[in-house]
Amino acid sequence: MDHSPAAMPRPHTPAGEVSAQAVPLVDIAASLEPDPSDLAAAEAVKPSGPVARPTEGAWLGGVCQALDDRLGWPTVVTRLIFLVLSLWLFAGVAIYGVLWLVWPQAKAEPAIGLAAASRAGYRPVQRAKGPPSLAVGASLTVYGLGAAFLMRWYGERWAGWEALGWIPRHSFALLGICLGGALIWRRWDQRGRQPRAAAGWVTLGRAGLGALLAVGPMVGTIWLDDGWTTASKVLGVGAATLVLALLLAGPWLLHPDVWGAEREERAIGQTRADMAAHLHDSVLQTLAMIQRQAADPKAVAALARHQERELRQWLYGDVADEASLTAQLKATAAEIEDAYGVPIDIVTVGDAALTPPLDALVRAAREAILNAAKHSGAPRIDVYAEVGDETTEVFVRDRGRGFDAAAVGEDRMGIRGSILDRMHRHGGVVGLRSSLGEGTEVRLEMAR
Amino acid sequence: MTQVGPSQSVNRPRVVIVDDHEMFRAGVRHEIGPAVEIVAEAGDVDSAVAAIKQTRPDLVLLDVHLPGGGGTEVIKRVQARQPDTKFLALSVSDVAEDVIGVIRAGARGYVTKSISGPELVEAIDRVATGDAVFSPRLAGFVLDAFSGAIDLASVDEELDRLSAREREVLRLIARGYSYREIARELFISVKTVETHVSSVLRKLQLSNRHQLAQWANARKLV
Repeated sequence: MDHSPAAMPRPHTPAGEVSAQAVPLVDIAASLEPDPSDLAAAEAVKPSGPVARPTEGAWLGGVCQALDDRLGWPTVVTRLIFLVLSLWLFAGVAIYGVLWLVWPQAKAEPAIGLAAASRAGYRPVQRAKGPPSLAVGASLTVYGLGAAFLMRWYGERWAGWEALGWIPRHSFALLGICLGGALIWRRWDQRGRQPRAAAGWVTLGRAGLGALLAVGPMVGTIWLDDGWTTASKVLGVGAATLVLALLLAGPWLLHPDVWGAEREERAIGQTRADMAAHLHDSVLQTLAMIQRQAADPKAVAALARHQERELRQWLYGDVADEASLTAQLKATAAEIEDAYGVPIDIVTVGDAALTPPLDALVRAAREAILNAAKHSGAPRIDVYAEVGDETTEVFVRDRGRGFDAAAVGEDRMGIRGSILDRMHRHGGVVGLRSSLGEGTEVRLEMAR
Repeated sequence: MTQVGPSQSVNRPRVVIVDDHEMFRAGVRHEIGPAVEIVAEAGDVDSAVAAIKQTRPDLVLLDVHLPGGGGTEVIKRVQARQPDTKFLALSVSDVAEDVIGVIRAGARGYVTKSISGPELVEAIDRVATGDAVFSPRLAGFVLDAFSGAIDLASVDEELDRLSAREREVLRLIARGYSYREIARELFISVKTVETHVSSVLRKLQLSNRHQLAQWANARKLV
């Protein structure tokens, strides 16, 4: 991972000669007969966990995309279904709204290091995409249910399509309330995502507009239904309520940040303390160790490498499933890297839950890495794991001294017992290629 | 590929180093100094854009994380006026989202900061001559991103697929093979390997499959 593939140290042999010596990557055993019980247990890691609404590529709340992710239906289909459902008593709208509320938004919580880099403007600005607001979802629900109710109500009073001509007035009031509510409450969802300076007049304007949207159609409808006297009374009561609410909420309105700011400060203080403790436990200790072992470059390099890996995981790491193949493989590589001081670069594609055969694969890979670290003398070991649809492969490669693959005796227990037998027991295949002075590559393949 | 050593002084690529860590710039300067001509250095987006505009380098060694909007911002601003400038991205974070992001913005290669001096020089040389440089990690990301079903709604189907050969080349890069070793393994020329990698780069930059963005986001959730 830490190098360009373009320039590898190529000791001793000029490019032309090598291929002649190289033993082809022979399959030492070709029994790819998977144990059916193992196969059943092997499942992809991906579609587990709770449903989440993605933000990327969402039209509204990402509900259709979440359905797509889970059921595998194309979004075109799910969107159409919701549209058609909406024609019947707004059911689509209501269901969409409820799902919006119930399913959490896919939280792309960035790693600490990335979040910090983003805040400091070290990364391209990630715009908060779409309206991920819960308020909009809630409004949709209210509107969907309300409109359906209105429709049924009028449907009983005026049968059939006649009702449709009547609906607008009341449903406009409903729509106004929903829109106004969403406009005001969205602000709350988006707090912290916008710079503070943007608050103030914009917020006030939004609130005013929202209130107007909600109150206007409501009062208008009452006016049209029951005459101005009733409407003015409603307005009066509303105004009195508002004054009372303002009186009660006055202190918080004047100092809106008192509580929030205090809590925020405390949280920041705690985070800072945690950070300091972490740095003390890790980086500071390592730096002290490095100074003490300054005379031993290999030890220094190993220490630095270990610290780098740990810090990288802390800052940028993704929280991988402990029981997944790649997590195990990475842990194994880290352990050997620390023990032998040889950098191990590991690249993985895909992932799968750890099953007995995959566990055997990891153990075999461990042995292969261990062999390379102990015997090859290579400055670095490359490990590549790929979880495919049918098989999982792991390659362990070093550019060390290599050995004569044909002459692997029964005495080489490492290869025989730990790699070959282990893989064979689970129906796996081992490929081995090595040539003197050229290095070794072990290929492990297991049906999943 | 020609071997670039200290002895070769003709046609040394003119390089601008952009990184906000002075210490890192000094280290790189020391390591690649003899093999390339360092025409300018910069520590943030604005000064980088100004320096590139002024010196018109062959190649910009670009840190992914940079004050003022990151390396992506530099590429965007420079490419409008100087589309010929080539970028080699360098990062310590190795996060898929950022790496893919800077490549999609227009960088022709990506390497991590712990790369050795000679390797960096060869990568610079490769990118400066118009080829692409993929680290094993980047090859893994690309294989990951392009795996799985093809989006029905995607317009450019051809761009959304890697050919069997391209996939093979990427797999070998991910396994730690050098271009030369890949050429030998597949019985093709180094030039052909470079062509395949450049073609993958083009697909990565042009493909608009939304999975690419989604994938980078979703990765962190797994």
